Amino acid sequence: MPERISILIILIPFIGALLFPLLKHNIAKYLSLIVSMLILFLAIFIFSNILNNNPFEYNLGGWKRDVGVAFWFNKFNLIFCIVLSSIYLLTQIFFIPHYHIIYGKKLTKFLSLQALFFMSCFGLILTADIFNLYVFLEISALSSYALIALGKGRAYVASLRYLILGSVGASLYLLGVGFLFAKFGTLNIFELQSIVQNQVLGRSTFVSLVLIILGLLLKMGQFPFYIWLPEAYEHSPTSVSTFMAPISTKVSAFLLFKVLLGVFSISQIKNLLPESTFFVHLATVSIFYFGAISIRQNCLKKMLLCVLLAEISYLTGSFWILSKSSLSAFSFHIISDSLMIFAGFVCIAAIEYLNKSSQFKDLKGIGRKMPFTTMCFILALLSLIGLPPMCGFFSKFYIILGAFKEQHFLFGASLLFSSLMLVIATYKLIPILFFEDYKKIASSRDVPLRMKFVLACSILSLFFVGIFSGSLMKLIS
Amino acid sequence: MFKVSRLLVILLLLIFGFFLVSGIGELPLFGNPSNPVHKQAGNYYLEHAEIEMESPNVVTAVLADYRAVDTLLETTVVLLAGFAVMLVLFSTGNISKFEEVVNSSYILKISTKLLIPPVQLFALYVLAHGHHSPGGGFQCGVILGSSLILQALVFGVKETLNKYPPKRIINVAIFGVLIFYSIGLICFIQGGNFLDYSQLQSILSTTESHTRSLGILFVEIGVSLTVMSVIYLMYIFLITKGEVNN
Amino acid sequence: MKSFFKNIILGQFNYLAAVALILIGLYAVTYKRSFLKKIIGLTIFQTAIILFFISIGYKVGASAPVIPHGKGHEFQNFLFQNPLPQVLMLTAIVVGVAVTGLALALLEKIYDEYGSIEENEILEQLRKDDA
Repeated sequence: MPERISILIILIPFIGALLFPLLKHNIAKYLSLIVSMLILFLAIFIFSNILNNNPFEYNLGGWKRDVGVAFWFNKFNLIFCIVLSSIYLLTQIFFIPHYHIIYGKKLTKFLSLQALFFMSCFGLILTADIFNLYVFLEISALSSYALIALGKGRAYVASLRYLILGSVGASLYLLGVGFLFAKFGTLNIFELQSIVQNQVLGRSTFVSLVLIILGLLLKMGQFPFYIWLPEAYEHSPTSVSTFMAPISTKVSAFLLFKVLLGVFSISQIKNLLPESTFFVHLATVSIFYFGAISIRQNCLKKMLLCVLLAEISYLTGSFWILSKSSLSAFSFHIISDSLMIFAGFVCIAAIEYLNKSSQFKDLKGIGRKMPFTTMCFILALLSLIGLPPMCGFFSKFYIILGAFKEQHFLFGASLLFSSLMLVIATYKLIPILFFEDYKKIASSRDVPLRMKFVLACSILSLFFVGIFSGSLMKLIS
Repeated sequence: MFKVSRLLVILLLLIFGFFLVSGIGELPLFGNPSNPVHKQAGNYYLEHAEIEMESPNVVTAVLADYRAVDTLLETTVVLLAGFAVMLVLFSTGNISKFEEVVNSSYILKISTKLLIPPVQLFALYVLAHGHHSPGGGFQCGVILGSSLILQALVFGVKETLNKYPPKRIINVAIFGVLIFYSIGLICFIQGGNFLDYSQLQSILSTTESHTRSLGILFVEIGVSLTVMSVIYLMYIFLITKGEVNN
Repeated sequence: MKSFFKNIILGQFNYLAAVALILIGLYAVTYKRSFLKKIIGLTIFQTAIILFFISIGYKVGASAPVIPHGKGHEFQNFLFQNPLPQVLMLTAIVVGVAVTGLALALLEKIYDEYGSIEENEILEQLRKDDA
């Protein structure tokens, strides 16, 4: 029974995206809320089913695995889907009442693009066919370009730059798929795995691997290729960056894991890419760099984006250590980091709702005016720093443990360094938030109740994931 | 972005090129019929397409049945591009501000009026014969879209906008994807997997291969509607810079 | 060594042509200053990859994968091209067209805002706005 309805995770946002432009604004808004709730319940239902049974495959069109396209449902995929759908639901709860103010006539198309973005993220997580992955990648990319361009003004330049770099990345990925296809003749990950298992891998496989990695690193925003990321998320409307920033980079990181380790085994990758520690060193350098510049930012959004870029490098580094423990840490960090960044962005959105800006100079004394919101933001920052019992502590702990086991001490040290930098940044921030006088004359209330609810949910989820991190790690390994 | 010299860029690109060529040496030889790429799915498609779905054009069979999900997503990409162009470019400006010089001669107008219907008929022929000769949904959509663009070129954008207003045309595009999606949904509701056309057999009550053939035809209709609308929309929005109101 | 080169240049010429086009496209994307030329370079790059893919599925002496009537089931597979790469590349072409359309729309808006499509001029204006 869950096998049959599992495809609905993709189908429900899809039908939503198709119907929203045909309906009136109000109906479309609440329908999108219903859609996000349905996806969440469905994901939880399938996950609870899969805890007792085996992972399963869904063949679209009824054709067998290599002839048609197949989707793969296993525990980690579904956990990630649950996280994504809860982000969708929380974003909708947060923003729905004032979407029409932000977007006016463009509201239904915005909702449609948002639904297609989420559908493509679910598809990226679930698909087991590397060409289908490229098509989903392009759907998510196109919807991101359009959503970012809603910011107008500078967002057009940011979106165009993102478009060019993102298309180059996707095309490099496609070229890598081409090399694999020419050599082995199949597009399904499991078929490829069975063919590749017994073969000695040569130069063309190495080339395809490097191309796929380059393409996905570009999409992830890893160090030399991160140039599109800060501008794109800074100039896009807040309602867009709230859900896009936590998700799109993590999904691309997950794709790296899925494609590389789904087809090849760890030892094969180590043989093919003897210099894989290069990526760990790259990640270390970028963590130091982003840690250092995060102190000098004067805007909450930019600070959070620096942290986001550093977190992406955590993921890259812990992936390329290529040991079982570091890969479990990688998976755990994907989940926890999406939640943390989302919590941070939701707090910024709440602050901007009343304050219209998140520059430090405009934030004086907000802590006393909006105590709940500011507390939530401080908690999110503490989680990113790595304070127990929140999930940030556990994810950093597992990554550092995995790094030290494999003698990558500098990488572990860089994580501690970035935590330290974030502590310094928070220390600089707290006086501005709490101890200065609030100069602007504005309404004397805090953000509306629904926003408080969303903030509370996101922070509680951080605690929740932290407390249950042990069982989560067991599930993932 | 950064000021780099042209030589450095060319050098880096040549290194990248050598890297790619080094991987080529190991690939199977060009044109060899026993390459691994033909072994797995390629030969299966060639052997079974005609039997399973009465479609001698194997490309259409693969596109619209074996890998129908890819086509559905691709049509969604087209629709998404239409939405995106509308979102980015749509402004509240008036079309009367758009300065166009339409001085088509009488001969041009008459011959276009005579030419457009056969072009559209040919497009429908291409759609309907997608099973037997090269053709299918995308080709039909492009030909129909270009017939609309031809109207806009010869008769002027304003007149074409009156006949085909963008707000209605985007609904046609959505409807196209909805057709494709609902065929898959019917298959799903009837008990099979999504886009498994054999489940339509109870509704259409013919042989299974004929059911699949009809399923292919229906989804191609949806695809062509979407492609036609979005190509026309992209032309209109790019030409008028979005000022399409009356 | 000589036979190795002969193998690559004569036997895999299709891949070499695709690689050459890829390099040209990437040169345009990275080095050219005008956004329009970058978009054209992107199109060349994507077309080169499409060429690469399609040439994978080629069989010498085979014709298009449309099985003529009356052949029945006794045809041989090497008489017809492999349909799979062609289908995949249909998707890739359409995706490329969609992305190019959106890029051109963005370019029009940028031209409206900044009055130029050269990257260095736009960056100058952005820096002035920042300061």
